[in-house]
Amino acid sequence: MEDNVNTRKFLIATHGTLASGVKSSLDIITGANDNLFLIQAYLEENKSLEEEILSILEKVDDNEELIVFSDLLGGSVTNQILQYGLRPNVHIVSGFNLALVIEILLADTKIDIEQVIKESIENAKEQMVYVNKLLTTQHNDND
Amino acid sequence: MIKLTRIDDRLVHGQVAFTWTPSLGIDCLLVANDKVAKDEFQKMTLNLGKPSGTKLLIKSVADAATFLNDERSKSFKVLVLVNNVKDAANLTELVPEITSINLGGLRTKDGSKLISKAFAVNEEDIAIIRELLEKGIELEVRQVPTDTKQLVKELI
Repeated sequence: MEDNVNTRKFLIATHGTLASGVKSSLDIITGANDNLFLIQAYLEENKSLEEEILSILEKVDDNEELIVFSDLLGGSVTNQILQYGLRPNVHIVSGFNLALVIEILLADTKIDIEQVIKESIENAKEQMVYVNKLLTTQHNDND
Repeated sequence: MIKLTRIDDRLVHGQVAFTWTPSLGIDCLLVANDKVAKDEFQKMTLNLGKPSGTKLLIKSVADAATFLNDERSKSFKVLVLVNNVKDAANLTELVPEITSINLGGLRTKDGSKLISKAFAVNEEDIAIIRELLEKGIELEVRQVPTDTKQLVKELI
């Protein structure tokens, strides 16, 4: 693993406006991040996703890392990023939630990105909870 | 049996996995494409999008036709995917069971123009489409199952 990598750039890539919605939430919760790119596919039916992906990659140097958050595993956005964007310094995470994006965005750049991503995914999974059932369980525990 | 034959340049993706597959009760996705059938990386990528409980087959157009004409494929509810008009026509020629083709998505390429929101064709495509229409093949445009069918003969 490269030791000197310390600039991380991020890309949120979704069908439609989910990406800018996530950015709006991030701006509120974590503050603006200049290293965040967005792809909102299929808003203009015939805009080439390939070109958008390649133009973002041009803004990422080889010694920088790009972490891509895509919406659906197996969706065309993820598939096309895999097809056109897979490089040694590009890391793709699909099925993201807001907690995952926040954790990775705020992670210490001295910690290896693979480790950051693995741990953040584990933590983010715990965010998806049927809260009613959680309340019931806790209530029963207190009886 | 073939439940749907679809032209979509993204082949297996969200609309296919999350809407068409459950709505038609599909248990077998068949990608018919000579190039993809030989490309291990693209096969792997398409496999990521395979809905659970379905089988994904990726074959050349000729092999796909052989599979579809074989009695053993009749027990499956098949969604056939091609990524261009020509492959759809070739497959239709080889497989008599195909009497209707769904035009799902084709982005613009050189010299092509949109005939609906998400489907672009060039002159060559239109010539093939006219031949298919003359043979009595239904050509309908729908991105997702809940869209209203638009008949291509009214669009070109």
